[in-house]
Amino acid sequence: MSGWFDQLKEIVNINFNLHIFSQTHIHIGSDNSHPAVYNQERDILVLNPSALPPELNSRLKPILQEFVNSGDGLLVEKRSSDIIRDISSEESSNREFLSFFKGKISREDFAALRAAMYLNKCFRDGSSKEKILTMKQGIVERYGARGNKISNLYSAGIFENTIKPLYEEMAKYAGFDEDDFLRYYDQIIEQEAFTVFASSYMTVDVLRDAIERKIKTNKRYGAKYVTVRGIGRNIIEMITEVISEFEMEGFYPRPPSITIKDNIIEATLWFS
Amino acid sequence: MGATINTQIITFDTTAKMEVLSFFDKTVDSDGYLIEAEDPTQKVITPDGEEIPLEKFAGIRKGSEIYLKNDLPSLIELLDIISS
Repeated sequence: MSGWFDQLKEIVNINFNLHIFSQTHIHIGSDNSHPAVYNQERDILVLNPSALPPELNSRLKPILQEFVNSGDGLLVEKRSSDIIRDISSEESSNREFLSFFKGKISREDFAALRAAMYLNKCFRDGSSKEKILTMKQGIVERYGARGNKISNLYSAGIFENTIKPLYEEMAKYAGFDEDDFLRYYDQIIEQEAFTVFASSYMTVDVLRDAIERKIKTNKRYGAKYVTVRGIGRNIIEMITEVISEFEMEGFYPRPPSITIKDNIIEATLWFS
Repeated sequence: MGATINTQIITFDTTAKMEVLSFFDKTVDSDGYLIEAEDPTQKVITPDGEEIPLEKFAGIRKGSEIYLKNDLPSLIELLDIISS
């Protein structure tokens, strides 16, 4: 604690008979009627500069400047401060997940992933549409279309249920190369909009339905293919079964391409 | 991740932004962007060189006054700085 605090303490003590402590939280409000209010229970001092006499208001200026410039502190909007603490709390709850991806994907992707995680938390908490949109906009402005895809993939559970297991599966095999994982990973990101991710929660009918819906969507946006991805023996069998059904129905203008390696399947179906 | 915040924080109401800016000789131009009060032609910018509209102004931190924006990526970066 520096001179700024002692000066502030003196001002509130002498002028308002309030006693603050080193751990007292200081908040700057905009109430015109009360220059200084101390909440003892919460240990918060609220200063309302617009209600301060001019001579005290002018004394506050060097105090706040010293607070910021001394390196002691951060002067931040309450709303933003609350968000920062909320982000910290959410990341604490997902420490293992974040630790897994840190260092495995690029720094920028990891930053986008953290933002996506918090965005998803706000969505689950029922934040307003406007707030969600603003946050999403922030992600896109900073991380571009790739950030948007990462956000979509995260909220669809793809990082937890596909990308993480993908890495774990690949890492089991001798000669595992991180670059191979990154190639798959980049494809997943880039093809996000055109991909169906098969999971163990799906039945054959559910998967088939998901593929048909994705085909409809992809056609609408001018894409000529859909990619289906999955990990694990059972899912590989399910995907190949569904593809066989489509083939029997004479669905494709050309044969699908199917790659199976290290228990990971990637199938591309062309529909025009 | 989920680190302890090690920095002292003074908060302010969203409605007190102009007061706070005045303490640092800043104000807002007719387009709503932060500017130097003494030199209205001089816009306040972030370390990345971005101008700051009042509604995106989140605060000020040390180091010859670094001005902060309140978009989600900026707040995550700020969390890392104040936790280190």
